[in-house]
Amino acid sequence: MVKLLMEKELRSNLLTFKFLGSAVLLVTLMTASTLVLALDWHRRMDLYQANVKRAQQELQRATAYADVILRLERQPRLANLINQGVGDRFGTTIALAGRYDAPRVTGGTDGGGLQGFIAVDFAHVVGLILSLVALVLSYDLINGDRAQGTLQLTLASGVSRFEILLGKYLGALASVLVPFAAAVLIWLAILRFQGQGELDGATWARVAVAVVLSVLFGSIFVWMGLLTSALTDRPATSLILGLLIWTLAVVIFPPTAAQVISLSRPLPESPVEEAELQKPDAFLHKEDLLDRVLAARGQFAREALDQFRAAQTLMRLSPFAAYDFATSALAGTDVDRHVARFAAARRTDEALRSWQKRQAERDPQRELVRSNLSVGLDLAGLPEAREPSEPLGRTLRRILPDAALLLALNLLLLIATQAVFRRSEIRL
Amino acid sequence: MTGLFAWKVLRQFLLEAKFLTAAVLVALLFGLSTLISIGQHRHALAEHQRDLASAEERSDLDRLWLIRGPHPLSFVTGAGGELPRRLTAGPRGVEATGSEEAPRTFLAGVEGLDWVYVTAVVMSLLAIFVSYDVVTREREDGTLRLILAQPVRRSSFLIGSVLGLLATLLLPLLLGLLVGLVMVQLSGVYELAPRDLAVVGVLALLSALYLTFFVSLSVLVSSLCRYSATALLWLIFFWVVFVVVLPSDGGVLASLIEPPPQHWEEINQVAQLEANYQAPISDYYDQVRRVVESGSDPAVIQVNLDRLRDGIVAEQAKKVRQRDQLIAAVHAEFARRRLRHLELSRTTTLVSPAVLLREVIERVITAGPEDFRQFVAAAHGYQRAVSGPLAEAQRRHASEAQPRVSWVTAYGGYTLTGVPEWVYPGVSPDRDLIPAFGYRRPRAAAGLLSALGGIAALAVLCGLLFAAGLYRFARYDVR
Repeated sequence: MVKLLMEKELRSNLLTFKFLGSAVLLVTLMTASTLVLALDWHRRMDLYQANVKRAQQELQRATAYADVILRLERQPRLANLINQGVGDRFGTTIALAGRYDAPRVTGGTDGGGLQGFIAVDFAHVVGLILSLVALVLSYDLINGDRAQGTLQLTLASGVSRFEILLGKYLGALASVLVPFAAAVLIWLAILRFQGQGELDGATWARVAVAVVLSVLFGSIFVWMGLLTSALTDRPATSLILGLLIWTLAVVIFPPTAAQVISLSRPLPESPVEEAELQKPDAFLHKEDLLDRVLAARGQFAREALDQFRAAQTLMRLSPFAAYDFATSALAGTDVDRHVARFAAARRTDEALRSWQKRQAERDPQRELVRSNLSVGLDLAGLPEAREPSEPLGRTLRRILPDAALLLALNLLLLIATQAVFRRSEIRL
Repeated sequence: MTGLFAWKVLRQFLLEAKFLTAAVLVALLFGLSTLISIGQHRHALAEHQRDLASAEERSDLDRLWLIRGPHPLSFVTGAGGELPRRLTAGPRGVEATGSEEAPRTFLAGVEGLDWVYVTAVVMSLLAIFVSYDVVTREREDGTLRLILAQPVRRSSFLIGSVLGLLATLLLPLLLGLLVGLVMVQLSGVYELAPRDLAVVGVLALLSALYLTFFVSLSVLVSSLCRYSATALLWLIFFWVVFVVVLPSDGGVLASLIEPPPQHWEEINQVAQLEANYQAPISDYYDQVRRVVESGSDPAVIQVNLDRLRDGIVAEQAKKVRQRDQLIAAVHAEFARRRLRHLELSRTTTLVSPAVLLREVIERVITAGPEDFRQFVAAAHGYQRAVSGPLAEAQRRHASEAQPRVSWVTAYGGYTLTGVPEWVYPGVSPDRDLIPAFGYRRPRAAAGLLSALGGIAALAVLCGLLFAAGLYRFARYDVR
């Protein structure tokens, strides 16, 4: 019976103007944004390869141990296209000079304040448009039927209210999934043809989890539509109510919450006069200064991270934010991954420092003096700068709270809708 | 009769609890946005003071630091705060030094919740909510037939309803602006001149014009549809695409047309130019060897070597000047491309009324990209004006100069050394020679003039939509 009801809802939805409009909107936006992102990805990849090559040449050309600079490059991954996350706001390259300089972050977002990365990605389109489509395809399912009198007739045929609700939910979800499936297929096709064979098993798994999360997220708004539909008499009223909630939850709340936290938990002033340290050789033979700068930067980063965690907790009140955090973790572009990158850089820097100390003691002449001796430097034992990778299992563990949140919200809305619908009048 | 219809609509909403809740919500949102702006402005002002002090300290005869202050009306539109605030001017042109500072917080990158945002996004939604059923509801209730049975012109019904809707919408708008203005005055962070209050009045008028656009659109859509829900759906689709998606994703189309210039590209190009001009020491070594080997008298050799060094240094100084000019050209090119990208991402999204509203308001008060454009232009003018005085000051402080690059080469007991390029670190610019940099935003009247095109476009759009609505309504089936 549920299946019958579901098929009926699906069929009646497929022929409407709103379904067509939603599908066109979703597919068009997904295609356009993915095409742009794919072009951007090629540019990123070229830049990354050029950077890696240049770093190697630089190492080979170094003529003094003070010139040995390790560069930790952030490799662009196809999974990043799921959600650009924080983009390259934290740079693409971390240059480590061990005891001779503090680590420097370069590349990434343009200093000119332009959008250095493109924010419209898969998760953005899903978060903004799929939720709206879900709302638009479900806002009149109960009060519309009630107004037409069909609800009365359906109930007369011996179907329980819960079955009706479930049938309507599944029907609406199915009609949301039709354009979504089309959008996902187009997205994957573009990735497949633009990705130069980088689509490996792990990436596929990440994409699959992201799609599941998207369905969970969209389903929340189907329930929202059903709930407002059960609460109100006129379809127009339930649409207005649903849209108000949508605007607050998706458009207004997340950025506002972040701003409120950034004002209520201000960060301390940057403790080091960074400009002073930009001078070359600022740290020469001043390891205590270097230690102090590194400690101060570490302290500042910890406080910034605490601030971010507080904002994250508050922002999770909106399912949009929870979905965003989870997908950016899957894409490997979230703040935690950048923190891990910085931690790895810090460890490599420590190792580089002790290596430099050893080399300088062994061969003091070649520590600082740049000579054109033909004998190259002894680079044995030089630590390697490698970007830390995260296995899928750990990512999944990390996104578990957010996924659970999305699921719990679904269940909560199911219970609430059922509670309202059970008591609601079936006639107008 | 028109007035009667207007009063009817206004009274109907004023008595409705739902509308009053929404109005209070909007006013609260204005208050919240003002609160956030006040906090951010306080922070920006402190940072500006630090920037000014450090600019004073860091300016030398090689580059002068120019600081762009926060906008005095940043609560209206906070956009543009992320554009470069520190520029340097000197023999190497005007450079925007945006990326030398590490990101301060993990929270950056969220869109500002300023007055324009609240008006553009929330008030427009409210406008749609109150006016989507202006025609259809009366028809669905059957009252439209009764009204038109009276000797009333259809146009006066529609005009009256629209006026009533506008009055209804002005209520939360003015309430919100008032709440915000009181908070701004009480905060003590902003210093508002009486002229600024007039500017805020102009902004209220522009916001009202923007809301008229949505009311006119609703009238047209409503008189095209039979059912309220259909009209609402059309309007919501329009709103989502034009108010939510287009403005926030504006960079996409512009990036597709032309990739945005990247700061690292600029840095790389400058580094390339610097590398090209490094002294070819092995050539000098050959020349020294030739001089030393060609003579036998040490005094003659020394004289020849001195001549050789003078020649090399003079030639290198010329090359350095050429290089500086090339670097200045690179910076100018990137500044131009940056401005063009900003302009492009605006132009490609101007079809969105929300972007049009922001553009018009930014022009009136010279904020955001407009402010940045003017600042960069002023910086270039300043750089041209001080290039002479800077050279003069460098001559005056020649004794304090330090070699930036020097080279040395030796052969057969003779050494040759030269300094082609001098820098003046820590030499603060002489105030009698070099004028201080002053950037003043143009007056609001001048801004208003430059915004006239946008305002006219918005007004014409409103008129066209309303005329189309009238035309459709004249043929509307009232049953």
